[in-house]
Amino acid sequence: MRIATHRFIGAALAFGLGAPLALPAPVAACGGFFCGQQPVDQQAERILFSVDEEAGTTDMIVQIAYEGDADDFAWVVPLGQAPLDGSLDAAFPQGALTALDANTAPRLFPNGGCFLEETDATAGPPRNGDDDGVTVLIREVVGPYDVAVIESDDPDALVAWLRDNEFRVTEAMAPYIAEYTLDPSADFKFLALRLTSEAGTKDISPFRMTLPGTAPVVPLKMTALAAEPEMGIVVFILGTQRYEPANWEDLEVPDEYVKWDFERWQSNWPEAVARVIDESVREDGVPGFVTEMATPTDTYLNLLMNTTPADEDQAAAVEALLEVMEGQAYITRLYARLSAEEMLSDPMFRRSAGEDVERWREVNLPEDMDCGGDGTAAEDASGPCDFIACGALGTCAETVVDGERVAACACAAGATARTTFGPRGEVTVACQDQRMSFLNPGDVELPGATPLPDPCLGVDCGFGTCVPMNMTPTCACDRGFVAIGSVTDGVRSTRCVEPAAPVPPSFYAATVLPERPANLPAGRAVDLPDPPSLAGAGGCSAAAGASGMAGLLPFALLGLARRRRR
Amino acid sequence: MGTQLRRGALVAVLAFVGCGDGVDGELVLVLGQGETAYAELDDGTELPLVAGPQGGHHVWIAMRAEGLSAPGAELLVDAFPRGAADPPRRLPVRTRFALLPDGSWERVGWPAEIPDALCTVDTEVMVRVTLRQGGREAVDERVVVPQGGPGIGACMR
Repeated sequence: MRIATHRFIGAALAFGLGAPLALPAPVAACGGFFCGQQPVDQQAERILFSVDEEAGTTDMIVQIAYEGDADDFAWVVPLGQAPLDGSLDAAFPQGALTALDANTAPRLFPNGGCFLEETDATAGPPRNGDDDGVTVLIREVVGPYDVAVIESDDPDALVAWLRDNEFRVTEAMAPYIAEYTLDPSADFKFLALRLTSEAGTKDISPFRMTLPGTAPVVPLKMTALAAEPEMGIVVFILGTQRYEPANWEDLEVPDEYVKWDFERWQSNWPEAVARVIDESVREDGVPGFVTEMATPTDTYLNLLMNTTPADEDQAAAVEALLEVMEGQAYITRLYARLSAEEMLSDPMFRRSAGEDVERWREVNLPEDMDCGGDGTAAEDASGPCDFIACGALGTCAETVVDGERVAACACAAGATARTTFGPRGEVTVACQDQRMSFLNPGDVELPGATPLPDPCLGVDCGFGTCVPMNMTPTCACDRGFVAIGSVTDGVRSTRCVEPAAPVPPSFYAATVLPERPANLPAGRAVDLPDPPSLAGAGGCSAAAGASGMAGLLPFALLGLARRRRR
Repeated sequence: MGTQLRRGALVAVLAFVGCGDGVDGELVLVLGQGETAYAELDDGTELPLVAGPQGGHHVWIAMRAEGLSAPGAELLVDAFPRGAADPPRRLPVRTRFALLPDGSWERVGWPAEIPDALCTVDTEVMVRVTLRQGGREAVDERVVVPQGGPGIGACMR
């Protein structure tokens, strides 16, 4: 299996998917805004909002990451309202988003212990009208994209129109389109992009549009269709003041979660963010974002204006950032790492009365840390499990591979371990809800297509069973065993192995699949094993079942009876 | 504050005793307004409609509560023309309240979606919020009058 090149991955995305993104490219000459070498989440989606309260509009610039064949590319986004006429644009440089990311990312440095200071440096033809029950609001070619904005009360008509016009819509996408189409709270429109016949995947660029309204929203629910586990999402919001999540939580990372790796000279910040969000989902069923930075824009504007671009690409990036940032007083940067099962709603953002948030953070080191210089400092400061995010349905346990301690994931019943790429581009593994597979062996991806094969054929999970997830083999480890991942010649593989120390039984007792909201589709049913003993686990399944309130106890006790779920 | 909270609450119901959170006290909810801070909300208050770029229109509401045993709770937020038959209830969502120094709880800046919003401008809309936790439930409601503004279109009916 090649990485991120399966047709489903290419076809079903709502935002770009899991394709490795370019780090800030090394340049011979370094000028101002492009000097930063701050590590960023290489796998994250990046979305920039610029709110214009006077005009009552919001510019939305979305990075589109994609690997695959040009013919398979499709990008479908639900919108409450159609973009303003003439606002569609594909000229915002990727380099601008990348540079903004690198210059606003949290900067962490160890404090105390053996090190006192950080040593890092700075920084188609237009058409309008009704067509078979579908209203075509916009149809135009924008850069490399053939763009359509359409609406209909009939989800089947929408899907048929998109397919008739060669926008790739898989069977898995149809229920989500129906969910938005039939939502009584708004007349949702759909923005659909495909590459023009002259364009190739190398031409894919961020897409920009101006939308009515001043409350930014990330249309995330459809992303669940093909999201990699623990997918990073970075949201930048330019406006008059700080912004924070409205219907999601504004989460903070406790100091004690942040560790320092002296060998790689970096922190575990992305994993700490993932841990905070996973805990919030597990405890209260509420996902959230961490505000990584919130500050007036003047520093960035000065930096941009004092930047000497090294080439035309940098000059274009500076120009684009100045254009979007000038006139905006404040910038907020928010970060989340989410798996498909956590994408239960579309996060909306509101103005905040909160204070500025500095991007500088200290990592507190143990006071009694050994500073002998023999490598023990690294062990004292952090362990392998500090640098992995197993997801809300998993927990980390160490194992030993070739004599080295490595991090592995134990997954709850109903979850499976999937090899993926971490925020630094490293191979990692995470637990994923088995219900979130929307394309399965035997399914027909598009009408008339051949049934899909079983990607698990010939796959050996070791102490576990292969489970196909969106046509990728994953491993559901036997209870007590843990998963590790590897990639060889572009092929991902997952293995279930014995942990160095037993996985606490309390993990399996306390971690169960949450009830899936009735309005959101799941890809398939999952047979759950017989419930573990609840002695000491604080269970009360009878009352939970009696409440009849779906989601009230989303991560507790709802999967105890043997049942099939959809 | 406690007196104010109780005055505003319409309903507080102990639904059942079972696998709850061990708290037997009354759950009290007071519906307020505010995107960034809580403010009282009287019946008939004019509230600006806000267009979410991808999510219809809403007004910002805020809530204060007493009797919560933990931050996490479940909300159902309904909005419908005053005098209309109660609409089909929206699905519950999970959220978290912040604990105030006096022991009460607060949630600020919640988007109460207004169906068919553009046609409700300058009309009376009932906003009803149901708070649930541990088998207990509290309901509060207010009549608000949505207002147009920048970026808010006109009713096309």
